[in-house]
Formats: sequence, structure tokens, C-alpha cells
Amino acid sequence: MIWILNLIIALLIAVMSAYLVRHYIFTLTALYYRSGQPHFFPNRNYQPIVSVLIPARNEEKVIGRILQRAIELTYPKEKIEIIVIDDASTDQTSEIAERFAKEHKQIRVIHRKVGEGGKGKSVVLNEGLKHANGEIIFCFDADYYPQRDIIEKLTAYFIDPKVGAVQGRVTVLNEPNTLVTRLVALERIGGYRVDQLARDDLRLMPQFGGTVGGFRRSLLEFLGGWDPNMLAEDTDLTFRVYLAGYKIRYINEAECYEEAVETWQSYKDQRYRWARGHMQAALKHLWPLVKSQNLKLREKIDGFLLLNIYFMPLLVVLAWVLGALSFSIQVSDLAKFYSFLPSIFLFSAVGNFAPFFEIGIGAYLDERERTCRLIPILLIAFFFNVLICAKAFFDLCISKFTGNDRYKWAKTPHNGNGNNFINTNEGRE
Amino acid sequence: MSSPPCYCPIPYKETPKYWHAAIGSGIVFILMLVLHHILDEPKLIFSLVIFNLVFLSFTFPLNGPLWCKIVWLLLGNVMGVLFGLIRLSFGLVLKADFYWVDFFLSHLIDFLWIVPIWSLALSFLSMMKKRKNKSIENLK
Repeated sequence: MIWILNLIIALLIAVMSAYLVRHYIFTLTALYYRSGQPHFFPNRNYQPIVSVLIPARNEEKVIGRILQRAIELTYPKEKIEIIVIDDASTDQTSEIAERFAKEHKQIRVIHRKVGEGGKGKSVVLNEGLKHANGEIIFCFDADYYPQRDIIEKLTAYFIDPKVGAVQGRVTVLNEPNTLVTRLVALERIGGYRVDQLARDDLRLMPQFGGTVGGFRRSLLEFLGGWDPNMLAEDTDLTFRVYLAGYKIRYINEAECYEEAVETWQSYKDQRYRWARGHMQAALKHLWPLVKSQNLKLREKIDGFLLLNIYFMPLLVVLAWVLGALSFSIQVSDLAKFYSFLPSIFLFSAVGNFAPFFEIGIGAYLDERERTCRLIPILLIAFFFNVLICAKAFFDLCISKFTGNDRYKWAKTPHNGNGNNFINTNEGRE
Repeated sequence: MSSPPCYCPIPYKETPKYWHAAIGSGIVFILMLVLHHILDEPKLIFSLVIFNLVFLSFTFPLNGPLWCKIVWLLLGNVMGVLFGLIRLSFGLVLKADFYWVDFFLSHLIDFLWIVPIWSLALSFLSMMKKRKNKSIENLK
């Protein structure tokens, strides 16, 4: 029996080592590697008609902010349409959006009926897609606040016919507000400034993050739009784009601010949805990924690790517990060796799926001296994420077993606190 | 689609300071030899090895003054030894009761000094870089 235990621990350590090496390479790439893919300047000769979809459900506190920004975008007004899809809001969202639409002809509002609302972002985006006329379809969440020239920066990459989608960088707007917003900001720095950039540089699989990004309309229609059955519709679409033979580019210089969740409850609800959705996407795409003829081996490996990342907090803890168990029932040197190893990976895995050194280097590259000092608090997020991922995993197993895959979409609340931080860098040093 | 795409500079990247990394490796090697002789405590040495590896990989090759990196490296090792000694003294006093607590929590306790010291060093380097950039801008 003991050898089985040791074998399981060895396998877990091998998996964790793969992630550790992956993030080590990403961090060094983001720091030093200069031979990545070319970055394009916005090109005035290539400015196709674009549609910007903004799904909104009860977003009265933030919808005005993004619409105000939408009319300030520097992309030619005759070539851009802003479509707000009001998902049966019961607050003032609809009225605010209509007010903007009356004054600015590039803005349109689509209303969904009360009975149709609250069925998730995918359904709303598909509705928007039906009304969009653009060649490129962008989507931005209602709580986001983009740079004025973000559309030019993102659109420039579609000049390459192999590019099916693009993703810009997400930065937290309300970072100084609470401990949770600071944590989210750290995760975003690691996830975008290091992880996504390195994956783009190394020609792996940069991910579409669900917002601050866009697709070639023809590709989106070919893929059948967003899948309403998927909780992580962004991860699902990412893999469908790659499996169709297209690539996604990450554009670090196209920055957009988001209003991050401010309470632990909202953090839990959002991460639970991401974790469960990601695991759901893993079950759906793992086999097609392995079989795909359109992907290179390195892309398959990266895709495989990306799909399984939400299982990692569980595996780290499992390895830790099994290491301890192994140590307690045998006193061999091998057992002692095993009991040490999970701790290394615990060191590396703290934080939300990016090791502490990756996030630290991201903050360093952004010259965020004070943010660097907050890295130790990622330990809190790690333990919180272990619980969230465990619940998501067991709920997914139960739903697969019972055949009842219903999930009530938990919308992330936005209170508009981000408005206080526009045009200021205070608290974000 | 008429004109070819223009290429713009990639996001900011560093140039690794190989000399700093080489000097750092030498210091770490000597430090580990000395500590191994003095302490003879595998768990403590193991934590110090992890800290030193992280420091060598992600601090020494960065831009910034060498003296600052060496000071933070030494400070980290002193901190690690102190943490280790405190843990050992707990072990001596509480004996078997502490054994299991130590077994499950020692790595977390290590985390409590490794990551903060490393992140403080990084924050310091970031501050130095910012200052340097500002002074260059002022000169211009």
C-alpha cells in the first residue's frame, strides 16, 4: 500500500513541477525575452468597422462611466458602433444608456425582456452579435474604463489574417479600496503583465479573458458565437478559436481599467464561477486539444496546463496532506524527501494560480514599489481559493453524476467606487 | 489592408546583469557552505536554499546596485537562521507536542519570512529604478 501512496505523491509532484517550470519560464520570458511576436502600431490605413458590445444588467452605477468613455474613443466615429445590451435591468441602467444613445448616434441600446434576463453573459453577447454590423466584434464589461485609443491598438493586430481574436490588458481601477481589491490587482499583474505576455512572446496560447478583447466577426459566426451552456464562456471560446486554427494575440499596451470586486463574498462568487467554468471547459476541450491537427506540441502542452490550472490548488493541498501521511507511516529517507517536496510547490503556488515570484516580477516591471510589499498577503488568497476550487470541483462532479448541470448565474456587483480613482495614480504606486 | 504593418517596440524588458548573478552565486555558495557547517539542521538549510535560489534567479540579474542586492541577500539569510532557531527552541521546549505542529506548519512559517524579505528587496530595487529613471528625465 505504501508504494501506491508514494507513487501518487510522485505523480502529484511531477504535475506540480510542470507548473512550477512553466511559470518560471514565463517569468524569465516577461523579464528578458526580446524575440517575441511583433507588436503593431495602430495603422490608419487599416480601420475596419467595429462593434463594441457592452452587456449590462443592473449596472446603473457604472454604465454612464463606460459610455462617457465610449464617446471619447479616438477610433473614427463613422467606423464604430457601441451596442449596450440591457439584460432586463430593474434599475436605471436602461434609462442612462438611452440618454447616451439619444445624444450620440454611434450608441445603440438593445433591451431584453424581463423573462429573458439573467441567463448569463453568453446569451446577452449572442443577442448583441445579432445586431452588430462590425467586421470586428469587441466586448467590454460595463464596469470597465478603457484607454481612449484602445480600439486602434487592438484592431491593428487583425491585419494578420491568422489572428482570430485579441486580448488587451486589464488593470484594477479601485485598487486602493480594500484588501480584496489589492489582492485582485496583484493577481491581474501576474496574470497579464507576465503570464499572458510570456505566452504571446513564446507563441503559446494567450487567453481571451471575456472582456477587453475582440474577435473577427466571420470567425465568431463560424464558431456559433458564445456557448450559453458554458460558465467560463471566455475560456471555452479561447479553445474553440485555437482548435479552429486561428491564434489569439495579447496586447499589453492596450490597457483597460476594471472595477474589481471589493468584498470576500463577491470574490468568492466570482472565483467560484470561474473555477467551475474552467473545470467544465477542461472536460469539454481536453480531448479535442490532444487530437487537434491545428496546434503545435508546445501549444498543446500550454493549453493542457491552462485548462487544468483550477485543479492546482486542490492538488497542492492533496500532495501536502499525502506527504505528511507518508511521513507519519514510514520513516524512510524517501518518505522524508516526499514530505519536503510539496512544500516547495506550496511556496510557488501561493496566489491565484500564479506563483509569488511571477506576480512580484510583474509588479517590478510596472515599477510598483509599494505593490511589491503586498505579495505575502497572497497566502490568504491561496487558502481561500483552495476552498473555492474544492467546492467548484465537488459541485461539478455532483452535477455530472446527477445530470443536473443547472447553475444560477451570480452577477458580480459593481458599486461605482472606481469613479474616485479615475485620472489618479494614488494608492497604485 | 493596403500598407504593411508597422512594428512598435515590445513591452519593457530588462537586460540581465550576468555579473551580478555570478557574484551572487559565489556569495550564496560560500554562505551555504558556512551555514551548513555551523548549523547542521537540514530543514533550516533547505529553507535557506529555497530563499537563495529565488533570490539568485529573480533579484540578482535585475537592474539595480549590487550592494543593495547583497545586503538584502544577507538580511534574508540572517532572518532565515533566526526563524529556524526560534523553531528549534520551540521544538526543544515542547518536544513531541511540537513535532506534529512543526511538521505541518514549518513550511508555512518559512513562507512568512521568505516571501516578505524577497518582496521587500524587490520593492527596494523598484524604488531605486524609479529614482534613477526620474533623475535621467530631470537631466533631459
